[in-house]
Amino acid sequence: MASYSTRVRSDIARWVEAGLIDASTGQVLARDVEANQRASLSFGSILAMMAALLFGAAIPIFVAANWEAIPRLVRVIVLFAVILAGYVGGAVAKTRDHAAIGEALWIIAAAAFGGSMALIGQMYHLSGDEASALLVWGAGTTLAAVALRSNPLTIAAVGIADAWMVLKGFDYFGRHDLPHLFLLMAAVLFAVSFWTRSQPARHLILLSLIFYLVLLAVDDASLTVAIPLVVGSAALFAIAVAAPGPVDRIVQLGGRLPLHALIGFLTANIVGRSIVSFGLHSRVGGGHHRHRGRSRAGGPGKPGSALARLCRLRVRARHDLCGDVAVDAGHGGLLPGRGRHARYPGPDHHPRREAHEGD
Amino acid sequence: MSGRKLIVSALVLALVQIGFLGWIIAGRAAILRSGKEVLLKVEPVDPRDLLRGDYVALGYDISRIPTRLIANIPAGQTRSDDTPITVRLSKGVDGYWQASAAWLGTAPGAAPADQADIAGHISSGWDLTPGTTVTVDYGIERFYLPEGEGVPIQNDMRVRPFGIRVALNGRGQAQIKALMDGDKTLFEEPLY
Repeated sequence: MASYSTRVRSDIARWVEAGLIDASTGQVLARDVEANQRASLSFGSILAMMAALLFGAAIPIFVAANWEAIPRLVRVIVLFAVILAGYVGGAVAKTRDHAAIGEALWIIAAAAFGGSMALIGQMYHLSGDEASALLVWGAGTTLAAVALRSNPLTIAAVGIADAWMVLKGFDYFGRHDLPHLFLLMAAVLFAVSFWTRSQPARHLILLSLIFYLVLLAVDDASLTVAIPLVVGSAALFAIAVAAPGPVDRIVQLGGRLPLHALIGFLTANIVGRSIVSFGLHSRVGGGHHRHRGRSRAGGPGKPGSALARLCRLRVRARHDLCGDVAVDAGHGGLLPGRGRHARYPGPDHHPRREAHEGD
Repeated sequence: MSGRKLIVSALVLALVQIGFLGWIIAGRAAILRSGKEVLLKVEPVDPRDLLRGDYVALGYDISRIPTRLIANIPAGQTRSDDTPITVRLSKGVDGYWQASAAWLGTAPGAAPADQADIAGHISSGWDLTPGTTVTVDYGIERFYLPEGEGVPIQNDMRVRPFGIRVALNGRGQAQIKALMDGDKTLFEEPLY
């Protein structure tokens, strides 16, 4: 698969040889081609990446099957071999101008690293939470992205960080606070994305951050998060539109920062509005919903409301905002098959305590 | 990045990742090899559905610790924090090891020869007032089974007492060694 840049580079070499241009000009041109080499989405590279993703997905399935037919030490060695062959083979392919194949092999190697952790967990019956395994996997993939300066690996690392955030944030029984460590991870990955020249990763990080802030706003159930998000997005939009050149030189988002600011602005608006309107509703509907100085939303009889949907999204149904809704939703059958949730009696009662009463 | 440099960094990266994974395996194998062995009684956690995909979820009689056993609850604290906990085990007459004392954080001293400490974790929000129990996770609440062998074991577990032989290292880290059906060893883990 000779890409455009490969062909130009061989042309440049030929022109230098033929004396059409001098060697220094040839070097400048080659460097320019390399610097502006777009990760062009050729059919071949898409196909290679799809193959890598499918192969990568096959690794955990291979682990999960837990075949006795293959001794587990052999399974470990096979996965280690895939890691080694994937990273080194990918680097060899990359240096021989098969960039797409190289990146695809790296993705497979990163999947094998995650699969190995799953296999070790299975071998030794580890019941540690999946979230910390994802954290280690994400760190390993970030390390790989930095070491190999790889755009797809950076995107993969952002994806794993997102998966970690969702797993951690939606953990109903864990009742952790929202994983604020995600902000640090986003900042690190954003910095890494400049080194790995990964514009898609930056886009994905910004979208994930907006999603995170929306979760935070829903979780907090007050306007302390929604309003700054609205104002911040508006300010960001204004700056990005007023000075597109300098701003894009810094963030290098291909001039699409205003789009992210707009998405942030709109989602924050929607969340803020639903908080405000349902907060007002409950204050009108019944004074007893006022609680600890905050307005509680989602009074009885509104299980299908947008807020209930948001709460269902954030299954953990916690504190002020979701307490009532979760109870209502339970009675209304909005959480089918999750009878334990339906008994969640409100913000001042611990669900697990109830499960062990009478011990 | 020049070609040779890229290949070298790929090689170093692969060795770092493989080394990390190997380090985890070596640590687990070390507990299996030289850890102190205790037998814990299994209590089914969820009688409807023990089998989650490819493993059985396990609960132990030591998974619930009465708060009266916890020696160092700070005065006035009624709710637990997200914290490690150390549980001291001693062998009962039936051969199963039971909790005899517990401390939030680490134990004040090493366990005597006939006892053993196991390190666990409790999450925040548990009631610490007298007369209640807290649930402790030890990281050994799963047993992965070969394909197709889950259902019969799950059924047996409901009617007969099962046990887990666990190895404990000096810091109380637990590693499952074998699944016992009464006195019979069903699965014994090799080191690797």
